[in-house]
Amino acid sequence: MTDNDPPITDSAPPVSNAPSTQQAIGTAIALLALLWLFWSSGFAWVIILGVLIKAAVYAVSAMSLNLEFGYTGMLNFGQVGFMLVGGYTFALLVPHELGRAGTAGGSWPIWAAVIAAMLAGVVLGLVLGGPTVRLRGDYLAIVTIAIAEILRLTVRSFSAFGQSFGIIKYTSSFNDLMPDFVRGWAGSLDVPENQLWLFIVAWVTVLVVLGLLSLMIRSPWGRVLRSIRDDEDAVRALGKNAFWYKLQVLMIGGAIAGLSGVLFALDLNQISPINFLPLVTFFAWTALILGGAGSLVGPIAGSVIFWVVITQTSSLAEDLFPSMSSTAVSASRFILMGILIVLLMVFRPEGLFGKREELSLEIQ
Amino acid sequence: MLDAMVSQIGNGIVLGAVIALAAVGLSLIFGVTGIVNFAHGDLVTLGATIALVLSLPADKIPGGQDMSMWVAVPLTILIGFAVGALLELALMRPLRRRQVGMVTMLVVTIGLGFVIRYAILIWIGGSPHTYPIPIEVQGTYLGFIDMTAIEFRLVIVTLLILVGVGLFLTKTRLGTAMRAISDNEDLAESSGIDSASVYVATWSLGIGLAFAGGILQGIVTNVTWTMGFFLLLLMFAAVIVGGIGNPYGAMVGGFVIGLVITLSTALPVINNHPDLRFAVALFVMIIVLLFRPQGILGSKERVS
Repeated sequence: MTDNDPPITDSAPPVSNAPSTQQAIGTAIALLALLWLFWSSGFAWVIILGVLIKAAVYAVSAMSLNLEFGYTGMLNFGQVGFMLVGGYTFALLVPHELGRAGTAGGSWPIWAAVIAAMLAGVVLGLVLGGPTVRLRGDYLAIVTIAIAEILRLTVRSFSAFGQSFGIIKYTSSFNDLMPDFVRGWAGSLDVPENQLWLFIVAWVTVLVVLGLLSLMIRSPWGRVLRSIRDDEDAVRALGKNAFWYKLQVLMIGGAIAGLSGVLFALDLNQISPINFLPLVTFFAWTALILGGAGSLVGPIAGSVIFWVVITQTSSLAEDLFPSMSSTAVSASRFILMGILIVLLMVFRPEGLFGKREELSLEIQ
Repeated sequence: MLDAMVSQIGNGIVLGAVIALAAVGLSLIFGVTGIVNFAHGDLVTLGATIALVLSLPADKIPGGQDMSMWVAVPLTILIGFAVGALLELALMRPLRRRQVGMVTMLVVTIGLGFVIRYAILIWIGGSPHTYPIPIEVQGTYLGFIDMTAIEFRLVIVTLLILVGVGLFLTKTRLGTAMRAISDNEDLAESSGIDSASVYVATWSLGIGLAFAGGILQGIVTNVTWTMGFFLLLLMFAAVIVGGIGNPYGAMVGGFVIGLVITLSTALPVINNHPDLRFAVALFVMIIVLLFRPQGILGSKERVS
């Protein structure tokens, strides 16, 4: 799970610490975060699994951003829109209940619905990317965030998507797939069976996506992406169609984000437009920046650390300042997150696992 | 449908005034410093909040100063100038010295926006607040524009502010320097313009205008902790539709977006689904970006 490819550009050798030391430190910090989670939750598996499921959902989402930004240099600030089409496609196709009236519907088998959710992400990547990939990076950022908002306002407006009531009771076909051994384990860990089952599936998804991304990044195709990130004009001069490569990345990234939307929906148990605010995008970005853009394991470690910090600081704050209102406690987590983003970007833009000389920080 | 549209013109002008005021600053900061300020919306909220705290009594809001609005509003805008200068001096300038990239700057403003937004949530809570101004009934102006008397006066004031900004940019040395740096920083510096101090002035003016936009929005609707973040995308839309990096473009774009949002409520489908009016505005922005990326007033070379 290391990323020791020699950089293809003739960039300078690592300035500060060697990658191996850096990865050791990163791994240590991720393990410390896990230890904190175990200690702070009092070894309650329900809490631990709950946090780690969220971490897995955002790890998949951040891995998709990593392919787009970390390896290709594209700023997608509408990730929540991809998760929305994935989650909604999945929930609408499998058996579910929709909207205020709870209209029953959906008959697709779960595997087909998951594929459809990923295809929805591909289509969004194509539709969004086709006209916008040629725009400069910051414009792409604004267009993607706008499209995500348009999607959210659309599902909130039409009864076909359940309006503000959203969709409920779509998880049963997923839970029906649970193998028997999971039930046994759930009993011994004293956690709900469904939660353990989702935990397993979510983390297997993380590992599968990691494996696929690792193959893609190491392939000649992946090297073209990194050259686009580092110098798009040079890639063009070599006769590669940079536009088409970027579009492919948005489509593959869209499929992965659609998949993370499915996991997101399964974790939430019910989805409605309020779950798909731009905040979700920024969470995924924070996980990516924290772990390190352009590193394979970075987004995973970043997501775990992010969710441990976000969930466990509130219990810490409740212990330290018992008089604080619950609004203030949860707001202070976001202030902490904002400060964390600023400090990271200023002092360590490469995150825990990234390489600074590989980072694309100029808008192209 | 036409009648329904005409009845919305007043609302559109008022919303347009808010967006235009706030978006001019966003556009100026982008043009001069190259930074896409994702915290701009939350700075709009900060302006509205500071005016709220200055004008309400302490029993209505923590730290309330119970000042007259005539004192609170100018004071808030002065604080806005100071906040803008402080942001440049304490955050953006050190970052530029470290030669961080534009993506870093952009993400830093996102983080800054988070800090401001949630600090305001802790300060004023999640429910909406209103300024100590009596509620008025709507009248009709110029024969077809429905708005309240205070809205009418505020729109006039906004137009005067915008004309003032326009005169400042064209007639004063500092304003000319801002436009020169927008066009070509190297050339501007080589002709003796001190870009460091122009950056401070730009942030100062931009955030002062954002604060003014926040107060205006707070008066015509109410003050909530998410009001500015909600306006942010509409400001982007105004900047893009009007023409990126061109402050006059942001003014025109602000009113265009304000009118698009309110007038589209009269269209079929959207009249039953009012949320979609914002989607229409964002859609207009995307269409402009695709087919006329330089916007209504922008120049062509900046886009890709």
